[in-house]
Amino acid sequence: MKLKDLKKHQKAVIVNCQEKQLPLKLMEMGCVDGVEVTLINKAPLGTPLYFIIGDSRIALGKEIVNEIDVEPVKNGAEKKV
Amino acid sequence: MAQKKKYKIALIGNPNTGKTSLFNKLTGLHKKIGNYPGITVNRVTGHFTLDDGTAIELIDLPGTYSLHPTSKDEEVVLKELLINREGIDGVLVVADVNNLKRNLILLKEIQDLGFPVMLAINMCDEMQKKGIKIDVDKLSELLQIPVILVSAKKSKANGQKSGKGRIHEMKEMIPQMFKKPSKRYFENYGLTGTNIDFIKPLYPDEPLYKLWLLYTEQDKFGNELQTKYPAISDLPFDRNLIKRLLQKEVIKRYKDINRILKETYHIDKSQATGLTERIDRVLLHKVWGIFIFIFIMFSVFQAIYSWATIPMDWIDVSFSQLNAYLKTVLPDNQLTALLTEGVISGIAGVLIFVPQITLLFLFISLLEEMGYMSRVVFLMDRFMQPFGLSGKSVVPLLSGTACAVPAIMSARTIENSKERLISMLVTPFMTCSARLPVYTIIIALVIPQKDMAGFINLQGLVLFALYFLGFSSALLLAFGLNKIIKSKYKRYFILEMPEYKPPIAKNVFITVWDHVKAFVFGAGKIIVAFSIILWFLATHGGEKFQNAGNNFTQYQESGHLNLESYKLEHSYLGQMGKTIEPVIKPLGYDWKIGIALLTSFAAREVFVSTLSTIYSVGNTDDDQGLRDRMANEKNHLTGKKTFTFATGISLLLFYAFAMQCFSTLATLRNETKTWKWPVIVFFYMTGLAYLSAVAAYQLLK
Repeated sequence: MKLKDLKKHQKAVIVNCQEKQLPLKLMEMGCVDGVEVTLINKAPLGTPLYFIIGDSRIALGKEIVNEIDVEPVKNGAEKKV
Repeated sequence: MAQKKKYKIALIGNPNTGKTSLFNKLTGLHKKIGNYPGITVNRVTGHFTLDDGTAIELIDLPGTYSLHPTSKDEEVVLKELLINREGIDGVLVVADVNNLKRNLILLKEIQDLGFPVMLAINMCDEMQKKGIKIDVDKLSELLQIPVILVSAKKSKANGQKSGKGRIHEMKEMIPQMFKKPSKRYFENYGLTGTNIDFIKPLYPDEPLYKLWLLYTEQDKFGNELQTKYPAISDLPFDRNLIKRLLQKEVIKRYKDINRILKETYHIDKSQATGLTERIDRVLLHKVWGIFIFIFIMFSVFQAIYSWATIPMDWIDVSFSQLNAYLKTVLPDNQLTALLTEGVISGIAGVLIFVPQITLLFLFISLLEEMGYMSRVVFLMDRFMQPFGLSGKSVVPLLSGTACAVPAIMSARTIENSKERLISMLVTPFMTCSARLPVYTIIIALVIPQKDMAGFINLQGLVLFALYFLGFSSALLLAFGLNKIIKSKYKRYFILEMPEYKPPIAKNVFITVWDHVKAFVFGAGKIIVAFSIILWFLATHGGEKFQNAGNNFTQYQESGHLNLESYKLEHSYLGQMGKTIEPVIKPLGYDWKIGIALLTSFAAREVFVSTLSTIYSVGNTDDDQGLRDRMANEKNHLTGKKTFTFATGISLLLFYAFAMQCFSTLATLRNETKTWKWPVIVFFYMTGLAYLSAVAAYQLLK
């Protein structure tokens, strides 16, 4: 599953991010394998998408959300509450 | 202990960490703003003294996520640390308590450059609310550097902890960073067996990480690298391999930091309020978000135009009174005329725009401070993309409605160099405040004061249409440029969405001050210089000009109402107007308008005062007098009235498009470091102005 396929408020974990030719800045901002992401909002025309990635709130454009693989976290949210 | 010490400390941190607030708190108003050589990013330094007399010089560097720059602002940090580093004794890293992990990446990079480092964790007032606990002593021990929790926001209000946000303690702690030898970690990352092996022996005395950055970021240094580190610039460069190594480096650093934070940083996620996310649900809503954005922008412009007129009138009246007063007390000679008509009128022509520019940047920086500007970027990005612009282009385009000079400078935050260039090239089309006086008088002259459909004022509608024309031309040109200009790098959109927070008055004040200063001293000095040159050209001339006073009847015979207007016709400027008359004839203009077009190169609004002089209207403040005079003016070429509907529309179009502002061209030169773009913009805009004005006049006459 790609990052763009997440539904609003759905949680997932980033995988295989290191093998991709993604901008270095993305990794520096905390977008590395194993980090949890939640989709918060979508812009009016679909992209950019706005996520919580680790401790940061980051908006990402189409070219990036199409690339990044994620694995959804099943019921992760319920357990914590 | 007796001898006084001096340290030069660089202040570095991620964007949105409150770094500048902290800088302002530390240095008060003792700061100095200069420029970095070659570029115009502000170099801000400040001073303060410690209790033992140690003098600290603090340099505020632009916010950056790492030492791998993606924008012009961020390049400054890298260059300052690598090339100009001689002066810097140590680095004070500012981190945000909410984002410690990411902030430590930057800290580690700086440590690897061999600098003594201290860490200030800002916004500690929010810790309790967010359920964050930090073991400062342990963190300090693991990082091997002094660490302190501070709050730039809280002064006395939240007094229960430690008074004034611990700013004083933080100052006193600075010398501690020099006590322990600085540690470097990069050498142990095991990135061997690669290019790094070649680099190390080339300059064995330098920290390896510095050489590595010089090598990997070599395109940012240009000639400086070749002269200072020739051996590095000669090495082969495999972009893909290097990128993989850089990614490895980041992963290594995160592993390191995760280990450290595991022992020192604890967050109870159930305490998170999610307030920012809840506000975003409304402000970024698909439909309401756009409505709210349009409503905010509308209110901002409404406020600017209704509030700014008061100080503008005040400036206008004060300066003409000052001039009138000076003319009565000073001897009637050339020097007085130069002072009043050239210098003081020039300065007045600059200051008249300060109220509008101040208000616009006040609103922009308030929205920025509160975190809303990032949302604007988020909302608008996809709309701007087809035009080769980014969401971040909204700021220069909006600022362009005040003045193109600070607007073009504000494009620096756009990472992608192609999007930045296009944003800068199209911003001059936006209707800046200097066009308004020209629009106002011509609209009043040729557009009837009538209501359309019972409630829409026709004159207002035309003014709105001109704003729209400027904006749509900017987009259209951007669309064309997007097809022509080739980009080295792929476009990508990464934007941090900062937390919403109340604005800090001091930060807003300083941002506004910086922008107004950029206008007054950047654009202003060119406007004043042009005013002086134009004054000279208008008050000096050939034989006829010099003899004007002797032959009193001559000017009346040639149809002039007074000596002034006769002299202007025969001045150098008048001759220039006559020279260009054949060129501007198809636009419906005569040499008198030609003079006004030429003087507009000082600043567009000079058009109005020039016409006042040509048409011999003594009092330039009296718009009505000028309007009546213009309405009756006859074109000597056609024998008909000069300011017909056709000429009016032709002039409006000419002023909407023509590149008549030398300050804008000079700013473009500074920002792009080449005359190529300003020259292209000049010919493109002026060409478009000419053609559309010809078309309008010929079709409508």
